Parts: sequence; C-alpha cells; structure tokens
Amino acid sequence: MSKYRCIVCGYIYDPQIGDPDNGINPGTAFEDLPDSWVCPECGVGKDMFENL
Amino acid sequence: MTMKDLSTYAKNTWCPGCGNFAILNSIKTVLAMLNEEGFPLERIVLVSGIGCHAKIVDYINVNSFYAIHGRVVPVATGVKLANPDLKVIGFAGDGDAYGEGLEHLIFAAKRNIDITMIIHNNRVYGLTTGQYTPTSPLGFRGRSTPKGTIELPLNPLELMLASGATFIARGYSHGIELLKRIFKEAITHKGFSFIDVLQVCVTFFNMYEYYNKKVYELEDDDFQNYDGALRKIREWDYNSDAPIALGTFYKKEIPTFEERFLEYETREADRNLKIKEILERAI
Repeated sequence: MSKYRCIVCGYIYDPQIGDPDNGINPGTAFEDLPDSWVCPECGVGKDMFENL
Repeated sequence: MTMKDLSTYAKNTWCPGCGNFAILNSIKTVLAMLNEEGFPLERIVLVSGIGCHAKIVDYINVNSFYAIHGRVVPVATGVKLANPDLKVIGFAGDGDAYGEGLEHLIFAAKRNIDITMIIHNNRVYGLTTGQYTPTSPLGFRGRSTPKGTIELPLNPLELMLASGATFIARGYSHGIELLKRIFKEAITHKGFSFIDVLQVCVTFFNMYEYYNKKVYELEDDDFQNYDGALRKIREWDYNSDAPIALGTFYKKEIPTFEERFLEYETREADRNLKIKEILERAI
C-alpha cells in the first residue's frame, strides 16, 4: 500500500495510519477510501492526490 | 462521542484547498478528546466573528455565538464572566482580530481572561475577495492595493507577548497533528491563550509552497522565559524571508481576570453586609 500526497497543501495520506479522526481505520489503502473522503487539512477530493 | 456527533447538517462552503479545514478537523478532535476525558460538551461555548473563518461554528455541534466584525473577544469575555465554569473558545480572522478588533485582543491579554483565541491568519481578507490585512507582507497586491501595499505587517505574537498573554503559540494549517496538540494545550491552559494559525487562503493568497519550505517545529521547552520567547518570536516578522517557527513560544500561570473579578464581587458583598449591620445597630 503506497502513500499519497495532496498536491494542494502537501498532506500525506499514510495507509498505515489511516485517518481515524474521520472514520478511516489504519490499514485502509488510498484506493479504498470512500469517494466522499477529503483532505483533512484542506478539503480537496481524492483526485487531487498523487502517488508517492 | 465521535467526530460525526460533532458535525452538523450545514453544508461546508469553504473553497476546496482552504486551510480552515485543518482548524475545523483539529478542534473537533480536541473537543471529542476533552469530552472523553470527562468535560461535558454543553460547557463549551464557541464564538466566531465575521469572515470565512466564522462559518466554523456552523459546522460544529456545540453551543456557539456569531459575533459581529472584530468583536469575538468582548463576547467571549462576557460569556466567561457570566459563567466561569464554561470553556470559551473564540475564532477570529486576521482582519477580524488584528484589524477591526485589535484593542479587544490586547485588553484580553492584559487582563488574562481565561479564554482561548484561535486566529485564522490567512493574511488576506478572503470573504471580500482579497484585500490586504494587518499581517499581509509589504508589497502585497490585492483588490485594494493593485500596486502593492506600502506598509509593513505587524507581528501578532510579539504584540501578544508585550500585552501580557500567558499562552502564545503558532500553528500551520498543513500540520494537523501539531495543531491538535497546540489547541489541547491552549484550551486546558488557565488564562488567556492565543494561537496564530497560518491558515492558507488558496484562492487569494496561496502560501502553501512558501510555508512548506520555511516552517519548522520549536524543540526547546523553556516556556516561561520571556526574553527567550521574544527572541524566537522575532525570528520571523511576517515580512522577511526567514525560518518560521511553529509550536508553543510562551506559557505562564498567573491569576486570571475572572478569579480576581469574583474575589472583588465577594469583597463587595461582605462590605454591603457590614454596612447593613452598622445601619441596623444605629437605627
């Protein structure tokens, strides 16, 4: 599972950590995030993330 | 209590890319944390001003008050004095807090009223489409200054230190873990807590790339050293091309305004009782 970076603000989604504050458990691959998930730091959608 | 319970039905209308999302997510996490630790959410009151930041109170399911422009601090002060058992958290923009309401901020720091002020400092008036604020850098080109500003910004942290704030910190919207730590520390601090958050306005002053190169986290924990805090605060003046420190700069515990206010109230009540006794004896 690879990390993804928000190209707007620089936030890095790490699948090992997930995004527990927003209901995403550790171990969730970026590809498995729901379409409604947005960057917790700047609110953009998944389409604004790049694979690291 | 989950983050979902703290959400509301209000549709979020901030621009995608806005740094306000980081502040919203951080504060919700911290409120959930406080609740888990036993602090009831009905004893939290949020106050916001006017500007993009102000919508934050629409998105959090706790008691709140929408103040008028620049008047977050007097409303928050009034709420705290009326019921000192409440935790009062004020949100204001840089235009709101450092422009329209600057004198309130200074006096809240001077009084050491036990409230937390979180400043969404995007260094531009975003809601009105891009005019310069007191923290915009020299030469900032916006709707009201197409040829660039001709005045230097103020350093709000230096101003707060000089005014007597007992908790001073700086965060950055790309840095949510640090924001959570600072917010928790500030809200649990007894006294006036001030946090300047470099909150990027992606539409009118996109500073992500610049800040990402310049920010670093403070490592020392000599929080009570006034001169040391001043030195760290002066490293970046909101204008020069210098490293930008993030974290807690200063922290000190002294009696709060409401403690002194309540002591005064008690003394006054005793005085009135004694006058009544004297009058009753005399008459």
